[in-house]
Amino acid sequence: MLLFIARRVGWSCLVVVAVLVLGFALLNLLPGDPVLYLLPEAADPRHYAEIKQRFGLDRPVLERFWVYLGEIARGNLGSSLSQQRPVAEAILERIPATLMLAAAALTVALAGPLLGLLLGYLAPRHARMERASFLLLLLLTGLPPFLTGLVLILVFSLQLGILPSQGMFALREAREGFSQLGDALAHVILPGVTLGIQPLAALARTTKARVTEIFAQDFVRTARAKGLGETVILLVHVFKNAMPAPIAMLGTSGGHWVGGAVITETLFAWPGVGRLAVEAVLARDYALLLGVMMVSAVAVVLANMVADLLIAMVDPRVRRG
Amino acid sequence: MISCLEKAPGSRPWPWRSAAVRLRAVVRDRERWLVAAVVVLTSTLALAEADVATVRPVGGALLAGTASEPGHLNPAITTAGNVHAVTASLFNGLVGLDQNAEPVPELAERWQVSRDGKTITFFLRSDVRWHDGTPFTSADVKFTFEELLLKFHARTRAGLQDTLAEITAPEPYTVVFRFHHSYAPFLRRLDVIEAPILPRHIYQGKDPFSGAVNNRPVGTGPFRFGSWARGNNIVLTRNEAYFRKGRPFLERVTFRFLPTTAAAVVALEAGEVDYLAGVEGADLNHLRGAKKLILARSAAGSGGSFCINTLIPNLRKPPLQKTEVRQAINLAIDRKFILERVNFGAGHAARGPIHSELAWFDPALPAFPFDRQQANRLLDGAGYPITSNGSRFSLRFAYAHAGFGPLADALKTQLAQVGIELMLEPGDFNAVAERVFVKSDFDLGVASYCNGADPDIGVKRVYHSKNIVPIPFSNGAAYRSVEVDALFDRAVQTFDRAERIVLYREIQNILVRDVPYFWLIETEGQRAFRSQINGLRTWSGNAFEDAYIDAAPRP
Repeated sequence: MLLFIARRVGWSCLVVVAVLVLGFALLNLLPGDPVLYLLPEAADPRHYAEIKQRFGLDRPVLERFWVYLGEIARGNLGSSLSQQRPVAEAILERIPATLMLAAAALTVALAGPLLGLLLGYLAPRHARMERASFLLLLLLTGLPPFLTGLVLILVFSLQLGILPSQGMFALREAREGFSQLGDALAHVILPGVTLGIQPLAALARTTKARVTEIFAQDFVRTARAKGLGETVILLVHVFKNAMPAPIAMLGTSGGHWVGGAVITETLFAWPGVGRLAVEAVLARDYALLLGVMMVSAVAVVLANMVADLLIAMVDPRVRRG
Repeated sequence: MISCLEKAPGSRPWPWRSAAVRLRAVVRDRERWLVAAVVVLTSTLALAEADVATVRPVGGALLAGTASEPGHLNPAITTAGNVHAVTASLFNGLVGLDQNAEPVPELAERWQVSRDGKTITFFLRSDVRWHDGTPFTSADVKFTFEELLLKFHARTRAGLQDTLAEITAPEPYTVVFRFHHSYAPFLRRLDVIEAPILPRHIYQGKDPFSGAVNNRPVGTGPFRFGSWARGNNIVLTRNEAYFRKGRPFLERVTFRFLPTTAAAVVALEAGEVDYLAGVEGADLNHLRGAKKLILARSAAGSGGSFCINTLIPNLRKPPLQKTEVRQAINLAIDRKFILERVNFGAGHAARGPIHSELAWFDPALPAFPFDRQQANRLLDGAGYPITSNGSRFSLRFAYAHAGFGPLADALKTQLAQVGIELMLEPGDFNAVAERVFVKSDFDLGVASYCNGADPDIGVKRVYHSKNIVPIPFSNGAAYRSVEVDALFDRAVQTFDRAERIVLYREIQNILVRDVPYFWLIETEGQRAFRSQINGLRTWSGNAFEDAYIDAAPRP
């Protein structure tokens, strides 16, 4: 198991370094100029040259990358051109909001395997339920977050007026302690559902398919022959065997979570890392964007590692190689 | 200009306004006599201030939705609209601008222009204090100009660096500006957007690009900096020691960052914010029927500018080098359709390079005709017949998809009708700005060129050959006219307003003849807000100094 973990950590470090190199290269290939963000109009050409020099943007790309790597090696993510402060400070400030959104979305998504288990057991016995669940889950799997989000805002914020649509706090009055937490929880519902509904449906579909498959296998017939109750068979035998598929799916869907967070946070004005990424792109704030990419890469890699370890725990064949 | 103050139900007439308008009529043509007039005006204003303060309720909090979060809060080192939208409430200029874009006293209570027009002396208010209690003096003005504005504020630096000779502060409340030559636009370059005054005691010896000083600003303005939750909101609180006694009326203004327009409009309807600046497109039609909300038009945008959506032809190469081709394209554009379908009726069809609601505009200029037959004739005559593939030539159109996507679609259809194929090449704002202005890699571009209070701000930069430089919003078309250059240079050297207007009208007529750009639509800033909110300013400067909420309880 230790060797397994060491191998995974080694690969993960390589992936993060690759993201850094690719990220830097891509950002420099992107059309646009960070100085144009600082000097949006009507400037004097000498002013433009001065600003370029002041922030080291007149140096060759490779030299800038070398300087950046040196900073990273010293544990410094650099300084944000647009926010005029350390990148680490800008990112750290946004992480709690993103974690809160991710927790909410994950809570929603984790209902997927349970729903899949239930449908996997019931649907084959009811033709209508089979058709309806197939269609509904297919529809939800294909829904892009920006559409889901807008529909939820229109229904729950505008029509019913029961949930806030924007930001993390109401801002009408100063709140503290539990009242503030309650306010934040009310605000996270719609973005959480928006980000979590697609994985919920995908996980439910995968689990349902796996459960249906497992029910047809010999060991289930044997369990029934042994006289075990349906609940025991379902929870102990079938569910445990069906789990690796949704765990692997969840672990490898890091791209969905990062991309989805960018869209969801922008739509709901949620003050997280995803929105910071959008702001960094628009400002061509390379240091900030690279910082966000690094943090996202680490998060995705960690999620993959956790998923691998979980699968290894539930499926001994994996950890034995 | 239609301002929301005139439209807002329940808003009270301004007692000093008619007096101010009469006064302006008297002094308009003779700014050298402004000194005497300003004394009378300030006393009228002082009386009015006391009067207004007694009728407007003090208190209440306003939640303003804004699309873009500023990176920092130092208005002297940037012209970025998202910074100034917040800092205009925190700082002041030496002068303000009234709703007719005329200078009115602010930090300077009066000013004196020398006979030769080369020296302007400002006499400052002695009752102004920075938010930390330090007295404001002429040393702050000298420091701000010399160390910040003339080094880092793009418009102020570009406009003044070769004109301004010296700034001196002979007394604590007197500051003198000396110029190489007489420079009439100066008074309109001094409001809180163009030249905000910053505290010397905070910035001296510090890096002006450091968040440590820029993210906790200390100003003289009607509101103090309260807090900043990044990604969420900025809170400003009432400056009780503001030099305009009784103002401001609101206890708190919170800027909430709402990046998606559609969601921001829903937030306004759902009561999550009270005010949105810059509503546009389909949302306008939606809000026109909304209950308890007011949609207010004004020619000025949220930064106080008068903007014209303008097509930029690349005059460096054929076919747009030929005047006949440009005249033909101008005839082939259906501005009425664009105004109604693309801009949802918000604005006017442009008639020339200067916004028609500014006094510098030439009212004799006719509307641009829409005549496809004539356009076809001109193109045939210019040597661009329709070829076997069905078109005369193609043009690469570089535009920012976020602001100009629907316009691009409309133009593609309209130009196809006269045999011109428009190849759409969208990008984000930054990438397109680099392509059009820095690299000149385009045939046709588009920008929203905004006019300032004086044509020297915002108009000259687009047409003067000195501004054919790789910088955004410069003379991107690369238009050169010795005649136009000379007229622009002459127009700033006289303080005689009537003479200046004649010169600018001459410029407009030459430009309309040469068609170096295609002026499409004079856009309008559209603000939407709850009907209890009154007194919002819709021109340059801060929107909230006079704002009040009708139902707000008194503290």
